[in-house]
Amino acid sequence: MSGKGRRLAPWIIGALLVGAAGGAAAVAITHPAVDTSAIDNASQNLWVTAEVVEKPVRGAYAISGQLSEPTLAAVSPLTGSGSTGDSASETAPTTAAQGKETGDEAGGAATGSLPQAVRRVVSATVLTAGESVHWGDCLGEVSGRPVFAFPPSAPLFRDLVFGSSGSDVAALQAVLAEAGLFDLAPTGQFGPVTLAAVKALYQRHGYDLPEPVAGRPGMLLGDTAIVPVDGAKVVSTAPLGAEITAEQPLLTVETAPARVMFRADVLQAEAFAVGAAVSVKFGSGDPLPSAVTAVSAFQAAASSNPAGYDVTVAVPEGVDVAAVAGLPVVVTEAAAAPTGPAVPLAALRRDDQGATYVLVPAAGGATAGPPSRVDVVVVGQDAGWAVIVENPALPVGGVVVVSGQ
Amino acid sequence: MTSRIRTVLWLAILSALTLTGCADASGPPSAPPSITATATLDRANAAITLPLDAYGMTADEVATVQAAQQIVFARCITGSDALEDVTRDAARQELDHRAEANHWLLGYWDADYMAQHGAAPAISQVTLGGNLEVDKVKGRECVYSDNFEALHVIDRSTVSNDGAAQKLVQYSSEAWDKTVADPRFQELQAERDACLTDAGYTLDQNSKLSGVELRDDWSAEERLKAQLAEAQCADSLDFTQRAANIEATYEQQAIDAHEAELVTLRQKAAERVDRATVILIEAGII
Repeated sequence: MSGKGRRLAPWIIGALLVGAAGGAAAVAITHPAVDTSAIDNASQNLWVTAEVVEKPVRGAYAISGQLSEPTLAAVSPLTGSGSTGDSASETAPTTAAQGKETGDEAGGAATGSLPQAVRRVVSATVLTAGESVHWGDCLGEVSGRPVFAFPPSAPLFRDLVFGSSGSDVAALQAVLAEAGLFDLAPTGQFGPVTLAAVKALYQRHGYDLPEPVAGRPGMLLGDTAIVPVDGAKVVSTAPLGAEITAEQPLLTVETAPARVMFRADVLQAEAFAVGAAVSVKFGSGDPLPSAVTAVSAFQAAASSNPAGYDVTVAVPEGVDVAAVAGLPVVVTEAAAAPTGPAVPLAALRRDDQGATYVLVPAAGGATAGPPSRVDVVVVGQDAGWAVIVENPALPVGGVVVVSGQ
Repeated sequence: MTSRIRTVLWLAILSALTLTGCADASGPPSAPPSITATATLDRANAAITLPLDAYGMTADEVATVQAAQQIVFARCITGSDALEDVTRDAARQELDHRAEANHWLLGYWDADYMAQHGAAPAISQVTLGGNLEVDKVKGRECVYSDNFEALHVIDRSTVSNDGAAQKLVQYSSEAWDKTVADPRFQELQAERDACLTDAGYTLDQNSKLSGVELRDDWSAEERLKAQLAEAQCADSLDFTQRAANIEATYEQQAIDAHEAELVTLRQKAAERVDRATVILIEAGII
């Protein structure tokens, strides 16, 4: 470097320093200094929080069911030999005819069972479709004889006459009681009180008391018919003049209406007690309101069904059973499931020992201090939320940390 | 103080510590290990998968092997390769049966599964031989035959006279014993049992797992409700996951100590499954 050069160097360096200082000043003026501590603090304590809310412990139970058609039963008068087939009661008064062999009397409409050769023809109709039938009711008239409704538990096999005894007499007395004609406890002895009641039953419907055995009045086996369910609904009746056959019964009754049935397991059963409101959905139709009408006793597991209870639900009003037959059926509980305080699943944390807890922000927010730990017990999960046991430290409306800590 | 005096003093102190037990060679009771492994819980099937399960047969593989056992046993009994229908039926029943050995390893849990499926037995309920008429002596001979023993199940719960296979039973059993003795498990157990007694049930005093006492005179409905009560208590406390994690940790310790042996065992299990599959294919079962 020349001597001139050496003289210029300090000036050049000085100029550069002044320029650098000026540039720095300009930057300082246009871009004032930023205090990054707030950002640092915020990035360290930026919490995402969520509110504790009231939620159902579980989703509503929805169970596939099956539509069952109405159960129908044919009702016709019983037939038999007409023999009394019994010995006299020990307590009933004896009659002169007691112990005599019973014999059918040809054409004995009033005094004995119909012989098998006599056509059984509807000679009068009493009921119409839609009416209910109760035990003890008169169901109609066949070949001039009335027909009375008896329960299936009645072991009817013979004519019952004054002096008869047995379980069939007790069943007769129970039916007479149903009809309001016998107010004693069934004894199984066909005595004078029973006789008076039977007579009143016949007379109520315009018939004389028959004498199945000469001198021994009572009730003819042919005057009875089994109706499976008390209160069964009449679906159809044989017309006047129709001959009663297996294909043409006196009455067809509905013993159980169309219904939806499903198996509820032991846990689900709590939501489907008798009377519980449900909705029933056929295929892609709208859910329709209905109710549980019956719950069976406990059933063991079988094939694809779990152990539990068979639940019966009434077909909702207005549903055309024939139109929905074959469609998938889903029954859903209508009542809301029990609720409890809930936090997002993402807020649940677990420590090294496996204990579950959540973090609750300090009052005053992130800058006020670290969040506090609250141990929780989860009782249910649904749709991303965990329902927890009530805890004073986590009231509904309180806040928990979801992330950021 | 001279170095000799210092040495004597140190020896005296060490002797004193030794005599008072402070320097006991075995040391104080070791603290339970930190939870370093986790069990996988499958709530859809109430299945618990623990680390040692990777070295035994899966539930499907056990079913396959047991189905093949039916065929090998029947052939030994009848002395013929031809199979009777009862043997085919028994083999198919085995295949249909998926006994999860780990369902109730830590007591009842997964109430939803249990309500749907009941407390399914953890072991196969299909009788060996099905409805085949079996002479006792011949039956014993066939069970100890080489062909049959080459199909023994290898899993955590099936006891056999195969020493190598029994290591899996041994290690898992030891891990289970350590788990139930672990104070953390006992604390969890106490919480669950308190839940059960609050629900009105008495506890089974004869089981290390305690849990609900099932009375012999109860109906099936009462038994199931009691089992569900235990499952609900376990679920509400997350008992099974937390307890299984403790057991998983002890199993992981066993794996770390015996891994080579366990890998060999898994290979043996795979060979048995392959052998069983061939038998079933040849017999037209699968």
